[in-house]
Amino acid sequence: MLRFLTRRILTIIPLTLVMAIMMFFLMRLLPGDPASQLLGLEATPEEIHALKVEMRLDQPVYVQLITWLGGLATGDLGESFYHKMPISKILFNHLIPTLKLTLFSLFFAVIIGTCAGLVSAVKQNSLTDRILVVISTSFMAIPGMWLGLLLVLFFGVVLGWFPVAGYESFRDGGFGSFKYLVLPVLAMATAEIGILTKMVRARMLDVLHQDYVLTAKSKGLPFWKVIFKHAFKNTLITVVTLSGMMLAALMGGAVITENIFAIPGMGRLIVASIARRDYLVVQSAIMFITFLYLFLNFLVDVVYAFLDPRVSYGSLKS
Amino acid sequence: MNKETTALEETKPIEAAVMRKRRESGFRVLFRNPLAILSFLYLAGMGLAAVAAPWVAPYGPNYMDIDARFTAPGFHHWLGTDHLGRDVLSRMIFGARTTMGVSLAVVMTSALAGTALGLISGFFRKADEIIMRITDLLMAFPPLIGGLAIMAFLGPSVKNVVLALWLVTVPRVARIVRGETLVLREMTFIKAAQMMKAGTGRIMFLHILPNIMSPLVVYFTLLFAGTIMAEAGLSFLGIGSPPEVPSWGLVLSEGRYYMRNAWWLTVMPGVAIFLAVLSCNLLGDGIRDVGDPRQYGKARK
Repeated sequence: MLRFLTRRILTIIPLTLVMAIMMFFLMRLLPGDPASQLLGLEATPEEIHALKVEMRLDQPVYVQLITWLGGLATGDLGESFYHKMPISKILFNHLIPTLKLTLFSLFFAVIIGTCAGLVSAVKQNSLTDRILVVISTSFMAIPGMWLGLLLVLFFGVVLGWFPVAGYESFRDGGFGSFKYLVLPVLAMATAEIGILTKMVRARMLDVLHQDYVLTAKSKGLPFWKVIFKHAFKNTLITVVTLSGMMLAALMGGAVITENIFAIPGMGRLIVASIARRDYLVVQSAIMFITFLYLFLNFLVDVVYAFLDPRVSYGSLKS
Repeated sequence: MNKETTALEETKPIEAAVMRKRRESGFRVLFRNPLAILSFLYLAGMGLAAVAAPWVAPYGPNYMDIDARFTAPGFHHWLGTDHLGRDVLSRMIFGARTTMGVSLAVVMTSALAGTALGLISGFFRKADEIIMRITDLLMAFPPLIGGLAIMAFLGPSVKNVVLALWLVTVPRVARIVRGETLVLREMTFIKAAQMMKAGTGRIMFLHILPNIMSPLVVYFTLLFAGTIMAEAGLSFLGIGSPPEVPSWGLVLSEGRYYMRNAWWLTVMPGVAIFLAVLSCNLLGDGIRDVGDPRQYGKARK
C-alpha cells in the first residue's frame, strides 16, 4: 500500500512539470499578445513595446519560463496583466463559485442517484424499476447546456422563481445567495443522477445475486439488514469511485454551466483570459484545475484500494 | 508440415463454426431488443439525411430570408427560422453533417490508433512505458479543459475540433485496450498459443483482438455519444465549428439569445442532440446484452 502511494505521488510530480512547460509554450504560440490586446488597435508600436517591457514580456522565453516555474514551486504565481492583481487571489476568488457549483451538484447527484438505484435494484422488474430505468437513461442523454437553457426559460423567465443568471457570494447574500445556484446545480446534476442510478442499480443487482446474500436471506435475516448491511455495503465502493471521478469531470465541465448562468468561476476565467492573452492567468488556472483533477483521481485510487482489500496495485505490473 | 500448422488447421473449422454460431445468435439477441433496433434505425436515418443533406434539406444552410425572420414552426418552415431568417430544419440537417461527421471521424480514428497503441503497450514492456507516460499526460487535463486549451491554440475549424477531441479520446481507448490485453495475456488459451510458438502479431490480432472486441464496440458507441456532446459543447462555447459551418451546438448557441421570443431555436437542436445521444446509449446497451450470456436462450421462455 505504501509503495503504491509513493509511486503514485512520484508520477504526479514529473507529470505536472511537463504539463506546466507544455501549457507555457501553448500559450506563447497563440497569435497576438497581451500588450496589444490590452491597448487596442489605436496603440503605436512604441506604446506596445513599453507595456511589454513593463510586463516583462521582452525577456527571452526561457527566462520567462524559469521565472514562472520557480514561481509555481514557491507558490508565487505572479500578477495578472489584465486584472493587476496577484494571480493566487484571482484564482481563489474564481474557485469558490466553481467549487460550490460542483460540490452541490455532486451532493445531490449522489443522494438522489444512490437512492434511486437502490430502489430500482431491490424492486427489479417492477413498474417503479422500469420507470426509474427510463428516467435515468434519458437523464444521461440530456445535454447539460440545453437543460440549463430550458430551466432558465421555464423557471426563470416564465415562472420567475429563480434569477435567470448571475452569482452572489455567501458573504453578500447570506442564504438568499443560494437561489442563484439552484438552476445551475440542477443543470449539472441531472446527467450525473442518471449515471449514478444506472451504475448503482447494476452493481446492486450483481451483489444481490451472489451466494452470500442468499445465505444471509436463508439465515432469516430481516430484509432491510440483508439489503443495507450486506448488499449495499459492497455497492458503496462503486459510489465512492464514481463520485470521485464525477467531481473531477464536473470541475472541467463547469465551463459550460458557468457560461450559461454568467457565474464568475474558473471556467469563465479561463475562457475570458484566453481571449485577453492573459498568459499567466490561463497557465495558472489550467495548471490548478489539472492538479486538482490529478489529485482527485489519486484520492479515488487510494480510497478504492482502502475499501477493497483485494485490490493490490503491485500485482498488476509484475 | 510441423506440429504447429496441423494443430491450427485442425482447430480452425471448429473455431470458425463456434464463432459463426455465436454471431448469429448474437444478432438474434440484438434483434429481440426493439429499443436497440429503433435506435439503430434512427442513427442510420440521421446519417443518411446528413450524407444527402443538399438534396434532403428544403433550403440552403446559410440561405437568409430576412422577411421570414423568427417564423414559428409551420408549413413552410417545419422547425421555424432564426434571427437571420435561416431555415432551422435545413441548418439542423447540415448540422448533422458536422456533428455526426466529427463524431464518426473522432471515434473511428481514435478506435484505430487507440487499439493499436493499447495492444502494443500490452505486449511490449518498453513501448508500454513510453505510451503510458504520454497517455498520462494527455489524460491529466480534464476532458473539456483539454479541448478548450487545444481549440484556443488551433482556432475554430471543423478539422481542429476533430484533432482536439481525438487527442482527448485516444489515450482513453488505449488505456482500456491495454487493460483488457493485460488480463487476457494471462489466460490459458493465450499461454497455449504462445507455447505453440504463435507469433506476437498472430496472438494480438487472432486471439486477443476478437476477444476484446465486444466490450470495445460497446465502449465505442458510448464514446460516439460522448463525442457528440463534446462537439456540441465546444461549438456552444464558440470555439468549435466556425459560424459558417452549422453544427447542433452552434445552432443551440446562436438561438439562446432569442430564447424568450423564439423557443424553437433553443428547443430543436437540443432535442436533436438528446435523441442522438440517447440512441447511442440504447444501442450500446443492446450490444452489451449480446455479450451477456444471461441473455441467451431467453426467447424460449
